[in-house]
Amino acid sequence: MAKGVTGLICILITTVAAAEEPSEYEVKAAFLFNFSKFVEWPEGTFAGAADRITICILGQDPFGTLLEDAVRDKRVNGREISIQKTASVSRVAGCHVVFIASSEQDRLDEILGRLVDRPLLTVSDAESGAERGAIIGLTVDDKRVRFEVNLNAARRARLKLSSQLLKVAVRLIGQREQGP
Amino acid sequence: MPTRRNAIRRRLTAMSALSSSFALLLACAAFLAWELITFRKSLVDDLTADARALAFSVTAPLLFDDPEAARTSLQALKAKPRIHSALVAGKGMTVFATYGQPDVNVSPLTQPSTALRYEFKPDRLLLSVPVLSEGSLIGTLTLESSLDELDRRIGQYLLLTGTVLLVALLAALGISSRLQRRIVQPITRLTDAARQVSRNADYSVRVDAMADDELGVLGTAFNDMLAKLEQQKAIREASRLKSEFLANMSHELRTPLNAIIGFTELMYAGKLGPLAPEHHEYLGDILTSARHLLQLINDVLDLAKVESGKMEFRPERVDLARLIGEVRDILRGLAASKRLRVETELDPDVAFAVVDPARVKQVLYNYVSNAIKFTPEGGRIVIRVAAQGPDLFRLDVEDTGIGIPPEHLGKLFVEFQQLDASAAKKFQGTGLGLALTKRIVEAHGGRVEVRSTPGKGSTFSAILPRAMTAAPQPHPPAVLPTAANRPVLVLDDDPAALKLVETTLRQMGYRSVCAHSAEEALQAAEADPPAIVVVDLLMPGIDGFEFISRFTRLPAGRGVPIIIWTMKDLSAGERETLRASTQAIVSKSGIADLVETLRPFLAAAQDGAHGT
Repeated sequence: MAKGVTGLICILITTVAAAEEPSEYEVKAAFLFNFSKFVEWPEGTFAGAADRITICILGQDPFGTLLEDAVRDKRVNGREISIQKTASVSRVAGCHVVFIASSEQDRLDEILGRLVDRPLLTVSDAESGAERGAIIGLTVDDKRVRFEVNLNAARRARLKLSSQLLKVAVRLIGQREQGP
Repeated sequence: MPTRRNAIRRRLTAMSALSSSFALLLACAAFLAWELITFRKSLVDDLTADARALAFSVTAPLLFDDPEAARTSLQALKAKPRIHSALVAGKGMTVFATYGQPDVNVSPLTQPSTALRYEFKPDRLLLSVPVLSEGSLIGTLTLESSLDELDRRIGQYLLLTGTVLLVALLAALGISSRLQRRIVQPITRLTDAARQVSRNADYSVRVDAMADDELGVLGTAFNDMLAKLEQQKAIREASRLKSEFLANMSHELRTPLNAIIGFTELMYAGKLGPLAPEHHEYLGDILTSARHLLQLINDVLDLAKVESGKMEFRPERVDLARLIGEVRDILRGLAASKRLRVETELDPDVAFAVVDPARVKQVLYNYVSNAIKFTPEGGRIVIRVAAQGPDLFRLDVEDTGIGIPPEHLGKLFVEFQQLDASAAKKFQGTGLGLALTKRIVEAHGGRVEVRSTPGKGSTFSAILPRAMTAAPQPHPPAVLPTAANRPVLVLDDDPAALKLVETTLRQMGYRSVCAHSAEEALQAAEADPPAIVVVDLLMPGIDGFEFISRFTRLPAGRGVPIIIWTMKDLSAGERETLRASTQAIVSKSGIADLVETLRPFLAAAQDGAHGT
């Protein structure tokens, strides 16, 4: 058996991570975009098939241009992604994903209280955001960005989260939905 | 022999075994190849399905950079023991998660691609699928599957194929040996029959009826051939018996004729007393008829001899003018009786030829006597000798006879055919003369010709080689020592012949002693030493040859001339033997030739007697 001697090109795959480690918010921007792929909004949320998915940033924007870079030219289920910065909770109409920046840590309960029951994917950048009622709470563990999922909050928001997403979550809070 | 006998059978068996195993092998190989291809395809398809499912489950872990989750997903492969290892590579070709011990360094399939790729290694199958998210490539999943199943499948297949091959081969051999029996058995029967025929010369062998095929045809043809051979053998045997009978009969017929002619000659010549004119005439008629009969018998015998190739030729240098003269002399009386002129035209270039004089004389005699027969009174016959090229000469006999219609020319030289029955009666032909002539001339290396104009005449020709073979030297005449009043000792088992010779010699004034057997003759020789001995060769008990050898050893036999007087046709060898011990060989037909031969010896004996 002539291992390694094949007609095809042998590529050495590096087992170490890429030379330049992505920054925390680079990863978080990608996560924010990727979450939308595993979420099913209730019927009627989008008026048309080509309607954009709008990601709203509530509070002090930590991304700079990172988020814009992450979603540029990308589509989810054929929809483009638009980013909207929102100063107040009262202006979340038209949003599909609401990123609650860590600057709103203290107001988190209030914000979540106002957004409850609306079909919005709430993503909290604050400590134990999911425990406090956000559907997804981002965490950083040993410099690795992870996330927790609050299943009860998702149910209340009538969002269906893919089991694939749940598999990747570090922690699930609340009861899983019955059935498939 | 048995190995050779079975050669065809073994060859047929080998042929059928070879061809059937070749066909089977080919079929099995094709089947195996097809099976391999489809099985490999199904392997790829199955593995692809597994890979696609797995790729889906590692999408989220890849997107959210969770190798642990990916590894957990890959653990599902435990349910698929044939998949040894799996490798999930990230977008930057980084190893994201593994299962088992993937040979990451050599897997070219980990190169990012949106296409499905697979590669068969000798012992495994590598297959890569892209991991896609919203149409964009986020990683690659590579699976490594063992080919044990394929190997097992091939093993089973080979076993099955081998079994089928063996069983089919045995079946084919069984069937073919049964079918072969139908071919080989008839061939064996034919071979056996042929061997029996050739070994025993037994043409009564027949092959049993066979199937209605090519071999059957062969068998029938074989039988037909044997039947014909058997028939031919019977015909040849009959022909041989006939020839033998004919020869014996001719011989037996000549013996009494010899006596008839001899005594008639004596009486006719008035040697036995005066004759009334009408007795003389009747004796003449008897002589003519007897001679004709003798001629007939001689012709029949000669023809039989020529036909069986037994006629011998004794070529010698012959003066043709003299030969023609002799024939003319014999026929002079006949020609004169019809007032025919017989002329001779000789080419001086062909004065001599090396031929058998007796045979050429026979040919010429036949031609001239024919010409005399068929030429009206007052006609003309020309005997012409002319050169025909450097090696040949022609002997023409031209007549002014009745001629022969052209349609009959072809039949002339065929034996037993006379132009018509009335002619036979009128001209007393034997119907054999020309046929015999043709045979003799051809046996000489020549050919016959005939030209004829009806009403004007015919020309019969014999074209012969000038030199047949080298002529043997004629035997020099012996010196004849003799004493007075010694008798001629005549030895012959035929009393009529003895009486004829004795009577003839007495007429001539000589004494003779007759002996019926060799013993008698030897006693007589000792008691009364002879001056000359005349001896026949064919006798019961001690024959002529033995007698001569004994006689010459006697004191009384020393230097006594011996004349052979016999009907036996001597071979060249016998003639050579006799030449050493005897003075002359005379054919026993009438007495005239013997008398002519004896005359000088008798005269010598008398002179010797007077001398002493």
